[in-house]
Parts: sequence; C-alpha cells; structure tokens
Amino acid sequence: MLNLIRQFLTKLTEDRYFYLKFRLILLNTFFAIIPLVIVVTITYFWIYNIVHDEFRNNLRWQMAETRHSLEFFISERISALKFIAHSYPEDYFSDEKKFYRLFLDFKKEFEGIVDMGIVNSKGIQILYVGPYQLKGKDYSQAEWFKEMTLRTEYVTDVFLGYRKIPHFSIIIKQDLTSKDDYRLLRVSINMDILQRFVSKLELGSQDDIFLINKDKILQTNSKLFGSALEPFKSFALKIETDNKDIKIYEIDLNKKQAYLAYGPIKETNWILLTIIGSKPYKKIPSFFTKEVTLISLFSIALIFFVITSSINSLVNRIHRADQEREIAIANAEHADKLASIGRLAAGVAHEINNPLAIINEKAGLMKDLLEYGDICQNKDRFIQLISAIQENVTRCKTITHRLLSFSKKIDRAREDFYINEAIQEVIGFIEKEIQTKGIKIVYDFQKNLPKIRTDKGQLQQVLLNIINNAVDAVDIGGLIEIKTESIDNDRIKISIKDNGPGIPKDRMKHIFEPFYTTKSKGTGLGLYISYGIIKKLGGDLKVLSEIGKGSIFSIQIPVNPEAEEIK
Amino acid sequence: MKKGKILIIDDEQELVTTLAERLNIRGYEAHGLSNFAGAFKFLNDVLDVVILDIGLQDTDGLEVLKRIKEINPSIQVIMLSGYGDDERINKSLQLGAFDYLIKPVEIEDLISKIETAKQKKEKSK
Repeated sequence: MLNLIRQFLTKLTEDRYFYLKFRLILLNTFFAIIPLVIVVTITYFWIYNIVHDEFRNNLRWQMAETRHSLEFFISERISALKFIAHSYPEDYFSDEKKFYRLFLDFKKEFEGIVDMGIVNSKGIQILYVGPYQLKGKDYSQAEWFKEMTLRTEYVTDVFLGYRKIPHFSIIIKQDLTSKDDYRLLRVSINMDILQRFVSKLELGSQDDIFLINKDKILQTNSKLFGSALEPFKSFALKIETDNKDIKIYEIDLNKKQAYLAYGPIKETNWILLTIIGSKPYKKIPSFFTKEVTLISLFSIALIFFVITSSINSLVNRIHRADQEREIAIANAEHADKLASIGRLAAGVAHEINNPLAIINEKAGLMKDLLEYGDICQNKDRFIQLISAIQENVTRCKTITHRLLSFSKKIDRAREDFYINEAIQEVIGFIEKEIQTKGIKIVYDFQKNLPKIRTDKGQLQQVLLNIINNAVDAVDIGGLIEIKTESIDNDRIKISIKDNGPGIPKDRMKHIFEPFYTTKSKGTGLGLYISYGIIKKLGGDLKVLSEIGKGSIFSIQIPVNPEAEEIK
Repeated sequence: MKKGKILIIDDEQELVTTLAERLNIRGYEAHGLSNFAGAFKFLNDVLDVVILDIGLQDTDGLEVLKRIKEINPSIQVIMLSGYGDDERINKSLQLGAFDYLIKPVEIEDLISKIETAKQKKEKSK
C-alpha cells in the first residue's frame, strides 16, 4: 500500500500530464459534487426537523392520552363515591352487611378497588370491608386525614399504610346532618393499577414513564430511577405544577441527550413524567438513508466517471497534440538539417567535380597519347597507372554524383506495380547472401494491397539499401521481418525489422546524414540517398531501434503521389 | 574529313584544352574557349556541337546557351557542369540544350552523346 502511494506521488511529480489530469479531476469533481452535497444536506436537515417535530407532537399526544385515561379513571371513581356518599341511605354506612354489599357492587362496577372503609371524624376506621384487618385502626395522624379536615374529596399519594403495600385512596367527606359531624368514605386502589396505565405506552430500552408526586416521590416503579415511594432525584428539574399543559424539554441524561415530557394529573398531586432517551427522532426515514444515499453515491460515481473519462480524453489529446508538435518540430529540424547538408554536399560535389574532370581528362589524354601515339618504353606500365588514376576518378565521381542526386528530382518514371512483388524482386537480388548467412526472412504481407504508382526503380534502390543494412546488422541465422500494410487506403507502409544489435541513441541522430557509417566498407551515403528518394516520392522514412533487440525501418509512401500532390 | 566540328566553352582552361585535344585525337575538329567572348566567330560557322559549362567567368552558361540558340538554333549544345541540381538541368533543357552531363564524364559517353546530337542536327536540317 505504501509502495503504491509512493509510486503515485512519484508519478504525480514526474509526469506533468498525470498531474494535470489529477488536478483537473479533483477540481471538477469537487465543484460538481458541491451542489449535490448542499442539496442532500439541506434535505437531510429538513427531513430531520420534520421527523423531530413529528416526534414531539407524537410524544405530546401520547402523554395527553395517558394522562386523560388516568384522569378519567380517578374522576370516574370520585364521582361514583360522591354519588354513594350523598345518595345512599344511612343504614348502608352503619350496617356492616349492607356496607359489604355496597362494596361488592362498587367493586363489580369499578376495577381496581381493593377495600372500602368509613373513618369517623376522630380518625378511627369504624367500618371496613376488604382483605386486611383494618377495622378500628387509627388514622388520626395520617397525612390524608389531616388534609380531609379542609377538603371534601381527596386522592392520596401512594403510600404503604398499615397493610404495607403501595396503594392510594380516594376519600369523600360525608357530612352528618344530625350531629354536625362528618365521616370519611374511603376506597383503596393498589399501585399496580397506576403502573398498568403508564405501562400501556410502548417504549424503548432507554425510555421511561412513571408518576411522581409534587414532593418528587415516585408513585409508580420507574425503569431508570427506582421503585415506587423512592425519591426521584436523578437530575435537578424544576417542575411547574401550576401549568396544566404538557411540557417537553431537551435534557442531558447521563451526558446523553434525551427528551423529558411531563404533565400534572387533575384531582391528584401526581405528575406524569416520560423520559425518552432512545432518540427515535434521529431515525431519518429509510427512503432518505437508503434511496437518497444510493442515488447520491450513484450520482457522485457518475460525475466522477464522466469527469474522469472526459478529462482523461482531453489531457490525452493535449498530450498527443504536444507529442505531434514536438515530432513535427523535430522532423522539420531534421528535414532542414538534411536539406542544408544536401545543399552543402551538392556545393562540395560541384567544387570537386571540376578538378576531378581535369584529372580525368588529363589522365585520359595521357592514355590517348600512349594508345594513339608512338610506342614508348614502359607503355603498358603507363597505361596501367593511368587506368588506376581513372578508376579512382570514377570512384570519386560515383560519390560526388550520388551526393548531387540527393537534391536532384527524380524523373517521372512512374509505373503501376504491386509493392509485395517489388520487395520479392529486391530479395531476389541478394538471395545468395541471405542463404549464405542463413538469415530467415519472414514476410507479413497484407493481401489485396492496391497497386502503387511511383518510381519503382528508385523505391527498389531504397528497399535494397535498407534490406542490405538489415542483412549486415544480423548475425548468422538472424531474422528479418518484412511487413506491408495499407494506411488510410492512400498510403502503404513497409516495415523492415531485424533482430540485430540495434542502433545507439547518439547514432540515431546522424543516421540519415551523408558519410555517416558504422560499417568498415560503407560510404555512409546509402541511407542519406534513400531518405532523399523517399522524400521525393512524397513519402517518409523512419527508424526505431532498441539496443539488444534490433531496428525497424519503416517507409510510408503514397499509393498515388500525383493524387497526393493535388491534395 | 573530320567527324564533326565541336566547340568547348568552359572556364577551366586546362579542361578545355585537354578535352579538345582528346576529341581531336578521335577525329573531331574541336576548339576550346574559356569565355564566351571569342565564341561568335565559331557560331556562324558550320558548328555541330557546343560543349558548354554553366559557370563561366564572364557570363552565365545558360545565358550563353540562349544566345547560341538565338544565333543558330541548329547547333546542338551539350551542357557539361559540376552542378547536378534540378533547376539548372530543367532550365538548360527548356532553353534547348541537347543533354546535360555532370563532370567528370567518360570520353566514350561524351562521344556517344556528340554522335546522337549530330544525328539530331542532321535530322533537323
């Protein structure tokens, strides 16, 4: 992995096109993705707020529902007790049997009633029906008894009492008209009933609902804060009991954000309290988390793909254009250089040709004089020496005439012929040498190549020169591959590949210059002349070479140079 | 009877004299000049072939060719030059030169051209 990063960084610093691609992709992707990110973020928060509001409303509604049920439960029993207290005849409250029947009827109608009793104004329970032995018990010190001196009805907090079981009582004051006295009719209801009300709500593991009284004593069991009758002291909270509305607050519960909702219960000292720590409001609907995420990721991938491919193609085009420009400049420089050399060579050739002509004629005259004149001593020896001079003049002449031919236009000796056949003819000239060296010639000729219209002789001269060079380059048993192919239907490419030692880079620059040779017997004019011929035929001659692998000379010539010229 | 009358004009005096002598040995009546000034007396004569260099001291060989053809169009001119560029070759042929040879030339090749030129001159009569 580290290696990959290192390679990437090296490429980034060394390859300016790679750097350009990287920078453009990064910038474009960044600016293309920004609007998408903004839209998704705005939508996210918009949906979050909707869900949040929905959660608060839902919480408020559930709280109101629960509170309403509880209040109804209490008020229903208060009303019923009031009705009994004020409407039933006196004997129902003095005769134990009738009181028992009254209790049974009441219990049948109203769920949750555990027992019923009558307490006189001194706090003594004078009548009692229920599962406990509480007749005669003194309640004069009980909180609720003291409260009842001032009230006509009262719902107590949850307490243990004589029975030692958490319960609460509903108490109604019954005025005794005959004696200016009163008595208290009370019923007890177990705390479990309250617990049932608050447990109706479906809550998560970090949520809680319970009742407390105004002194912050738990009235029901709480999942998070303890059992009934324990003080509720988990966090400092000022609870407004005057306001009847349901209040909702954000609180910090054990360093976690939570929601607290509360509302007082009518006719009682109780407060219904809910703590929601499970953060259901943070649950963004799945269409957003799934579909929108998928769509966003797909869009980002698509943006990245489109940007990457378009920038890739753009930078590649720039790269190609740069390369072509560099090649064109190099070619132009090369062509200019060769043209200058050509002019120089022609000038030199001309300057040499004149004295050479004089030497030639002088030697010729000497020979003439010997041949046409009198016989002299050593005549044969003289003729032999003069012939040697003439032979060397001819050698010089060959060189100067070839030099001159670089800038000389080729006669329009054009004919139509098949290139593959022309190559075979050239191979025919040097077949013997090829066989002697045991060289393998591989032909990769494209079939159905069109006939080309050019100077066959000149082209064959070039081919012979290049193939000869290849034969010289390879060792005994070497390999030469000759390939022909059509390019764009109007040009033909001939490649001659050898598996020789290859040409060093420093030599490649001079390969088409005159008198540049690596052969011991070469004049260094072969490729110079070949280059001139191919250029004049409207084509191009190039060389590629790799040390140890060999060289490829490729000739490109127009199928019809006249048509090219018209273009 | 000489094989033909030939005038050689070249600024290389050594070449002119040597070539003239060699042609003379071979039975031609060859005269050599190193400039064009002395050429006029030959031009009205019965001259078969002029062997003319392009680079003369006093004038341009192509100009001389033009003048020769103006004075006597039947005279065949073989250009013999150290230059071998297309421009000069084409210009010479356009101006009516019989052929263009590049120095140095084999005497046999030159005689062969002279003979062909002579035949052309005969035909044009």
